[in-house]
Amino acid sequence: MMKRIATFLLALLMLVPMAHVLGGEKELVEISISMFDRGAIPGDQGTYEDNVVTRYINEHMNPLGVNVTWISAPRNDARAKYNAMISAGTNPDIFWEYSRFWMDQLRTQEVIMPLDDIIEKYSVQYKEYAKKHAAMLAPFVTLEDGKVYAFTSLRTLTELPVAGIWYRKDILDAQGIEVPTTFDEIVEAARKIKAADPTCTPISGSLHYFNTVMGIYGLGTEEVLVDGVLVPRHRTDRYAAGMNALRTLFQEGLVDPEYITDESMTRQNQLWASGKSAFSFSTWNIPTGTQELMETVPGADPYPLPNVASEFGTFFLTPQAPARIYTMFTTGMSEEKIQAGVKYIDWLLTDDNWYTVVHGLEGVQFNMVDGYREGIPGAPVWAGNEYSVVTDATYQPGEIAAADKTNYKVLSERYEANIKNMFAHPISNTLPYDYSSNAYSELTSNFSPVRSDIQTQIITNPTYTVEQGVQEMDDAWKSLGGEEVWAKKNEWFKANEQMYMDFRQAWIDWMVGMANAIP
Amino acid sequence: MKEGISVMQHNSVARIVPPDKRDRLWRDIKRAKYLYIMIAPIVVYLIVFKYLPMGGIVIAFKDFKLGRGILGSEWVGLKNFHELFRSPDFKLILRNSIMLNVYLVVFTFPIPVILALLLNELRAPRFKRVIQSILYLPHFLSWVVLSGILIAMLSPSSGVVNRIIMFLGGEPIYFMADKTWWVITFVASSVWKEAGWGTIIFLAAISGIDMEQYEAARIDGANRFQQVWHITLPAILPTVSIMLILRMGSMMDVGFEHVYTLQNSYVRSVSDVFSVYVFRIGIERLRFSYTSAIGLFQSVVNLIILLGTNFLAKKVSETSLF
Amino acid sequence: MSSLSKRRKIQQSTGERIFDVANVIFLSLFAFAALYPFLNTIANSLSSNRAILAGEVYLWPIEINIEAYNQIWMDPYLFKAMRNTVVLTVFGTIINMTATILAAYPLSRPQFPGKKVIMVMITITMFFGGGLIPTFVLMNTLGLMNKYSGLWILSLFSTYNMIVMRTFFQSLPAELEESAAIEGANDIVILVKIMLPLSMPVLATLTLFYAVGWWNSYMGPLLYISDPEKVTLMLKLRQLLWAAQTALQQINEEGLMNKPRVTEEAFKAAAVLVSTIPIILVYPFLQKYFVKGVMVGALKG
Repeated sequence: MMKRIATFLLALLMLVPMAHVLGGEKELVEISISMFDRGAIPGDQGTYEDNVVTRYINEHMNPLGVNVTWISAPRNDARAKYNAMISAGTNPDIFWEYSRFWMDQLRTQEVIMPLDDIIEKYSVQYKEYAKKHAAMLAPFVTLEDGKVYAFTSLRTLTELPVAGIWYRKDILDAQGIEVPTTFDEIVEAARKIKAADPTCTPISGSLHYFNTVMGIYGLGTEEVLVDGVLVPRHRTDRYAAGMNALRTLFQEGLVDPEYITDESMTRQNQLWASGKSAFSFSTWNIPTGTQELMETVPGADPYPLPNVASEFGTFFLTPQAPARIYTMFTTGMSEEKIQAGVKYIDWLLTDDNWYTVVHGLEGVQFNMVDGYREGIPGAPVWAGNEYSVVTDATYQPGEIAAADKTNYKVLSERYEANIKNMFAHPISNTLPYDYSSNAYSELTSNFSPVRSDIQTQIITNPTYTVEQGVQEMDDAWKSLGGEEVWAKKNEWFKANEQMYMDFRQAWIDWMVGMANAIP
Repeated sequence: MKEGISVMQHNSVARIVPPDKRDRLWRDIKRAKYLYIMIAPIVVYLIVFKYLPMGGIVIAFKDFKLGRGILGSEWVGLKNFHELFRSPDFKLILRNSIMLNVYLVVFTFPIPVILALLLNELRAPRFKRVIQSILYLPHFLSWVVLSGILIAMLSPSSGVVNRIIMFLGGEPIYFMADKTWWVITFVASSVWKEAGWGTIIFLAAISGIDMEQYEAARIDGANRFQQVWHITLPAILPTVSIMLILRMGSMMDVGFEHVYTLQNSYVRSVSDVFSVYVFRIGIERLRFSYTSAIGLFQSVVNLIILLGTNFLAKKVSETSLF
Repeated sequence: MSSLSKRRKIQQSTGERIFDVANVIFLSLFAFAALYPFLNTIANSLSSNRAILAGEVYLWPIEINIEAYNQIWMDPYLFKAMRNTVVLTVFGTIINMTATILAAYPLSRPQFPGKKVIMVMITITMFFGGGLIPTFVLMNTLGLMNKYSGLWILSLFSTYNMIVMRTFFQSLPAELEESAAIEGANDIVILVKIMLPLSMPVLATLTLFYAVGWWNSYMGPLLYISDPEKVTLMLKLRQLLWAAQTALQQINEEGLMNKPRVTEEAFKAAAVLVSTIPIILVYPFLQKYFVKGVMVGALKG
């Protein structure tokens, strides 16, 4: 016992949470990679550490001198678990994550290492890939100190979440309303519907409703570029217009008044699924309850709504970083392990190996039918998507509908038909990612709740106007040091303005290009 | 006595302690040898698993970086605490945490005691057992589940509660959107979930009461209320006191899930508490030092309140923690 | 009927009878309020998804189907997880109770030298601790990772529960101990032969508390158990319960082509029930220890 206590103290003293002991004279270099346990692998088919996918990977990596092991954690609590492991030095060598913000945190915590030299020295395929897509990817993997900290690849269209509005064509038809193309037309339509049927709640929404409307008014992020200066959103015309729209909808009873307290989206789902609402402001794909809607209400005809315009233009809603997964190397990895890690990534990008890792083996997991993958029922579960930390995929028009084997395939078809429209609009962002500094974080965390409260007041309180609210918001923002912090933000922006402008254009071109490639 | 004299002889320059007291101390220690054996593993456990890791408290005084470990991270003294006190939300969060807890203690502490007494008065034993077994059920459901049910029940348009209100001729109340009603709902929901569970400990205390006392009282002509007042209550008073003291030791803590699942932007000014703040600020942003400082602040205040309550309890009753 | 019992019967005044009726009504209402969430969950687990989403399900299942339960039975891992949790709970509780008794008894003896010091030591640990990271490092260094024994040792006893037990021991009359001591019994004998039999209610209560604690434990197994064979029920089911948010997040992260099987409402409800019913049944079993009246008189003899 005493010896063990002494060892513990020694471990603390040695301040080496990153210590990894090299495997002695083994032929194979072993590297460990993190993995999210999403519960998709049935118990009798293995674990996230050991299953068909991991075995397939090692079949191919072992001849290259590398053995890949995986350390999994349940998705929702993965961070807590990995943090603890880092402190004890038992963490995986390689981490990957979806959040750039999180990656930056890991950098300031001195958990991950810069990769510029590593890629330059050891990589072949990835180096090529990164060069080819530099315009889109470089800004995302380059952190504040100007160094690259992650391997990444581009998402495909189906991997870019979007907010969306679905509507009931049958209700519109019954009232003789044309499909709205502007937000004002949505408001008009809602008025007509409500007038015709007071028990109907024209618009249902919960968590995403607010952001969707803001997105329509061109407020995808915290800042708007006005005459070359980044202005906080609450000071812009767009914001005032958007808040007015939200206020109108609420005060006239056109939106479900309980959306604000609908924390779990129960009510929104209820209204939509029981047929009581005409528009559902939801997110990403077919809203929950649409299939149930079609079962409950005969004649219900839900369609996704093509992006509508506001007086400021038509925008792509909720832009997400095009980078799919950020794969990072932890500090303290030995040269051997670094090379092994790079080998794995390069292997994925060779001969489309990533395709097999993601989708499985043709003839075992899927067959190609009319050019689309069709899953073979009863095949061993192949949960490979995130094992392939980099991919080189493109969207295949029609693949979503082809994969939908439910009775309501028509919903997927309609959704897919709308994709072209969804992506063909410019993003409203100026910046690929937000400025980051301690002061800025502090400002944001202090200001957000205040702003949120005032927003609720503006929307719900008939005697409290938009102007009043914005003024109060601004006062609060100023008293929190907003002016000074944003001055710094603008300095930061100016220092790299051209890069951001170029990037923004590249982003728009990329998405619009993908959209136009769809027949 | 022989022992006393020899002690005096050996320790003539020792502190003047009456031989009786020293005698007694040594005798007590010798007599308690089995007690020491019993408690020894516990003490070892405490030292190894509680006190050894306590060194980690220094994280609150450092700029902890995961990559550097505890000792490798720089000292920053009270900087994290300054940040906490300086934060504009701090007063609000402190006030909310305390106020919600005060309401919770005032309303949810007595209820399990009262319920236990009422249950005790039930005459049919089977009915009593059935009710006991039902009351504690909500304790097992998470707030994720319960909040969904609650919000739906309180909906101004379709909720059961408002339907009853309207039936009785009133106007529907949007409970979750009103600052006052939200607090009431919050406290009531805590009763709903935990009151039944809380009765268990008091029922156990009641069942430890000697039946003979009730017999004697009945013979003396005491009615049921008098029996409760003179026998049951005093008998469970030590348990109640200890439970209250312990409860006061968590005045800074309001359960995260409870608030988080019921909160919304209407009521943030009355519902933002430390646990939610830490979630928003700390955990998501890997700010170990800052969250550690917040935790330490909460603990210190809790301890002070506990000691205060303990002191008062000592004055008022015989039961106290130490 | 003797005059004594007749007098007793008459003493049941009108006031008391009204009280009884009111008491029954009040407690019944309270019990119904407490029962409702469960009834609702049971109803959900047997209803169709459509009915649940449409908000039609309150007390009774609508469009009954047992699809949710079929899905649960089909998962081979679920039973293993449940078995693991049972093992974790049973042995954990026994260990906890033993440690609690070993701590509470000495601390309840008035002439135990040093008890104040130990009490202070223990109370401090209620408030201050190193936190997750140092504890994790310690467990790792001591080789207690990935073992249930590690979890049991780490949470050896709850100071809160221990204080409750100590309070109870303190309330037992001193004559019992004294008379036994006179007859030459040492502390161990006193504890086992006299104190514990009289403490059934509090022992039953704390057993229940500890058992529920182990059954619901999440952070411990999450951080310290990595062997999938040792996964506990709560770990498995928590993922499902937060499934709605997870599903959305997963689609956001993995894209539409990797749509997870969206956990449906009925399945979630069934999962809640399966994970809570076993532990709920413990209390009715322990209830016989809460029987009023103690054999103090018998022991006095």
